[in-house]
Amino acid sequence: MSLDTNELNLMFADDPEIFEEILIDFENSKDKMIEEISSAIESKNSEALEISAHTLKGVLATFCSVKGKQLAFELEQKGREKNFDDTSEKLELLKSDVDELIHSLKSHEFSKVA
Amino acid sequence: MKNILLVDDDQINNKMLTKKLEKKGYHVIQAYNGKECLEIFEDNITIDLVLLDIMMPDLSGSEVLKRLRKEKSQFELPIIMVTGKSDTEDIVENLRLGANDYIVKPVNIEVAEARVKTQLALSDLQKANLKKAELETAHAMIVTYNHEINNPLTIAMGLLRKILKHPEDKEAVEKNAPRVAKSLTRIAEIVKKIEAVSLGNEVKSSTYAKDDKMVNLD
Repeated sequence: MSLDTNELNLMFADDPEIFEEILIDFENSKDKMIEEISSAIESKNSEALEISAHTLKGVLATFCSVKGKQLAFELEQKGREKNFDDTSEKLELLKSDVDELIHSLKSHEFSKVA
Repeated sequence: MKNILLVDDDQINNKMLTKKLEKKGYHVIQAYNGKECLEIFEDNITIDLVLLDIMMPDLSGSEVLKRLRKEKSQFELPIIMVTGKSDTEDIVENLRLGANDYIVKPVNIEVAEARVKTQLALSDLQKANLKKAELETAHAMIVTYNHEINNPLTIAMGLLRKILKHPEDKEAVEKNAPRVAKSLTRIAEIVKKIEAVSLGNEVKSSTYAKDDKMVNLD
């Protein structure tokens, strides 16, 4: 499972309306965010890779993703190190994890935190 | 209501934090990059605190911090950096550059609010202390004027009245005119000393009477 549901409850159980709103934003913007990482890899632009992966990592952290956040972090590190080895493979894993994450988030039911 | 400027290129995090802070009673102004942030300050919009993401394209949070610190101290404008958990080196560097504090992403709103409140309270306290010190100095200056200038002024005016009442009394005029001049010279000296004090970096004062202080002119 790529989602820390306990953390998600802590973050949003009191603000489900905010969660719903930003989840829509995420769904609408995820392709563009992934495209930015993909372009950075294709053009071997390490700085763009570092920043675009960092941005997606922040969003994934907000939605309490575990695996996706780690993959984005690894891509960010690759950018920082100017090392493009395995970046395309990591991006593919990240893409499918983001889709899985959105599916899980949409079906998530909040339980109030005591 | 306090104005918080939230600077984050990540629109989703920016929106989430804005909405959560608004629910806590703050007015949030959003900026999506460093340039926008600096433009808001150029427009003289009142900002009580900045939440500043470190890693942004083009103009990083650290660079924005450096530029803002050239204009405003940590007490005038508290700046809290927002950063990823893995970016500990950035945190140290930004605290060295003048950041007041930092919070990590994903932002826990309770932690963020506690840190925002602390920084706003410290800033308010410092501003109140500065205002109090300014008022005390102004009051000490007034006491000084009253004390130092009143005596020679009273003498000069009394003697001048005598002269004007009996201008034909040449002996009295010759006797009193130099005394008037002496008193006026004394006043001029005091005004010069006060001017010198106001141009200095520090105003020293001493107790004049209960609850009253006087500026040291010597």
